[in-house]
Amino acid sequence: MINIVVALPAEARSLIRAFNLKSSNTHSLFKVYTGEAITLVISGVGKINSAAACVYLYSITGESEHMAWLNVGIAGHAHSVVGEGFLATKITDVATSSSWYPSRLLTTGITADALITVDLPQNDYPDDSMCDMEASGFYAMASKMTTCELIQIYKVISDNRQHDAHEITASRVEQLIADRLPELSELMARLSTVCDELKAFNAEPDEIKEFIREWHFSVTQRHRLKRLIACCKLRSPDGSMNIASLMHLKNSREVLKHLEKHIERLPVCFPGRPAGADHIV
Amino acid sequence: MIETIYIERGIIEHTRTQEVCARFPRAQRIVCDRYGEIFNLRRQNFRLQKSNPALIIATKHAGHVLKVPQGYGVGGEHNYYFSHMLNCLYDCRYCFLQGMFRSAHYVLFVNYEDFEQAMDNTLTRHDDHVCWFFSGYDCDSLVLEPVTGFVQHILTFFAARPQAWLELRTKSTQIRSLLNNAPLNNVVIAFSFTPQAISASLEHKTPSVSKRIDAMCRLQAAGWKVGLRFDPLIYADEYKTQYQELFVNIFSRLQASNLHSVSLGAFRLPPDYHRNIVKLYPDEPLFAGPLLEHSGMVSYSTELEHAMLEFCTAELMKYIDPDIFYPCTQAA
Repeated sequence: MINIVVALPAEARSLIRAFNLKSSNTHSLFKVYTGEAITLVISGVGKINSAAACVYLYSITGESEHMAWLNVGIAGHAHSVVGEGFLATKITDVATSSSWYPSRLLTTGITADALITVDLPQNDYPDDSMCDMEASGFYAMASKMTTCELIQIYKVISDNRQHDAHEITASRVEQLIADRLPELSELMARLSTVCDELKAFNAEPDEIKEFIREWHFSVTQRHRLKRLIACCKLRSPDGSMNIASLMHLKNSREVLKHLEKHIERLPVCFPGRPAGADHIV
Repeated sequence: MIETIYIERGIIEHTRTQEVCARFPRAQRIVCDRYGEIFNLRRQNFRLQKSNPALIIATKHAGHVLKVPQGYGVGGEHNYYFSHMLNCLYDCRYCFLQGMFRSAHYVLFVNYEDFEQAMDNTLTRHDDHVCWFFSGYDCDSLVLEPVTGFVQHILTFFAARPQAWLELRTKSTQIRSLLNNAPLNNVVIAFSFTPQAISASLEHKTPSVSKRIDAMCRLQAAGWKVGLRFDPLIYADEYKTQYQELFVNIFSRLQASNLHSVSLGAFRLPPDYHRNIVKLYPDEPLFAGPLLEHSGMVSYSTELEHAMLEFCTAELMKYIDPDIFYPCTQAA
C-alpha cells in the first residue's frame, strides 16, 4: 500500500489516470483518490498543508505502519534540465535549518540530489539543490508513521535559470509528471514489494484464529501466544503444530502453559539455510 | 558494494575520507552535519538496512577508549575497548549490535589519532603499567581493513608502546596488512568460532570455520600471536559433538603450544536488546531455543549454561595449557 501526497491537482492528474484512481467522495478535508493499492491526497501548496495531508491520509487509511509514503511534485533547480526526475537525498528546511535524509536502500539506479524546502516562492536558485515548498513538512510527518526506508520524495524539475517559474502552466506540470511515470512506477513497485513483505512478516500466524475460536486470550496473552506458535513451528521438525491435541484444555492459561512445556521437548538444531534467506529485500 | 556514503561536513577534506571515497567512485555522496542524524533516527529498520548498508564517515568526539564490562579480558589488570567503526559487514544472528543500534549502516571514525591520544592518556593514567586495548566490540576488527587501513595505522602506535597490548577480534581472513608487517609482541589476533553447522546457520556472510583456521595458521607461521574465542557458546541438542568436532578441527591444524589465549563465554543479551532482535527476526530458530530471562539477562538456564561451559572447558583442556584459558564471566 502506497500513500502519495501531491501539492497540486496538476501534479495528481497523470498519476490518477495511470493508476486508475477514483475520487473518494467520503473525504472532505482534502481531495482524496483511491486505487487498488494506492491512496493519493492533494494537499495544497506549502509544508504545513503537506504535513496536514499526511496526517489525514494516515487516519483514513487505517493508521498502519506498513505503508509507503511518497511525495511527488515539481521543483526548481539552478541548472538541471527541465523534465529530469530526482529523488531527494537530503531535505533541508530553510526556515528551521532542520535536515532529513531519506533512505537510499530501495532507490538504487534512480538519480538523486539534495532538496531545500522554502516557505515562499523563490526567484533565486541555490547552486547545489532542488527547491520546493512541501518536502520538509511531508517528510517530518511521514517519518512519524513508518520506517524511514519506506518514505521517498520524487521531484521533476519544472524550472531553472533558463526557464523561469512563471512559464509553468497546469498542463505543462501534468505533462512533466506523465513523462516520468515509468521511473515513478518502478519506484512504487519496489516500495510496494517491501511494504507487503513487512506486513506479511509481522502478521499473526494463521493458527491464531483457531486458538481464538476455542479460548479467550487477553491482549498480553495473545502476544505470548503469537510468539509460542512461532517457536513451536520453528522447532518442530516439519514446521507444523497440532492444535487438535490441545482441545481438552480448559482455558487460555492452560493452553499457554501446555505450549511452553511442548516447546521445551522439541529439538534444538540449526538447519543450514540458503544464502540470502534472512533478508527481506 | 557501498552505494551511498554519508560524510560529516567537517571531514570532507580529510585525507582518509578522500581515500575511502576513492574506493567507491560510483557511490552517491551525501553531506551531513553529524552522523547521528542518520544513524540514531528512531524509525528505521535494521533488518531492511542490513541488506545494503550505507557507509557513514564521521568523527568520534568523545569516549574513544572505554572500560570493558567486568569479567572481560585475557589476564590483564587494566582493560579497555575502542571502536573505530560501528556495525559489521558480517551478519551474525546472535550479535548484540542488532539489538543495540537502530541502524545497520557502517560508521567509520576517521580521526584515528584521537583514539591513539586517548590510549596514551590511559597509559599515563596507569603510570605506564600494562594496559589492554580490545578492538572488535562494536565491529569486526579486520573485515574492512582494505578500506579503512586502521590496523596498518595503529600497528605503528603499538610498536612504539610495549606496555600497551592490542587484541584484534575478528572472523575475517583479511590479514594481508598484518602479514606485510613484522609481528608485534604486544598484539593478539583473536578469532571467534562456533561449530560449522551453527556458523552456517547463524553467521551470515562470514568466512567458513576452515578459512578462519587457515588465516590463523598463516598468522601463527608468520610469528603473530593468535587467540581463540568461543564466545558466545550456542546450544543445540548436538552441541557436545559439534564443539568436540570444532576443537579437533582447530587443534589438528593450529600449534596449541603457541597460542596466546583461549576464552569462552555464555550466550547473553540484555532483555531490551533481545526484544529488539526477536522483533526484527521472529523467524530465527536461535531465539526459539531454550532462552530465559533471569538476573537481568536473557540467556540459557543456569544449569544448561554451566553444563555447556563445563563441557567445553573440559574438552579444551585436552589441548591447551590452563594458564592461557580465560573463561569470560562478564554480565553483559
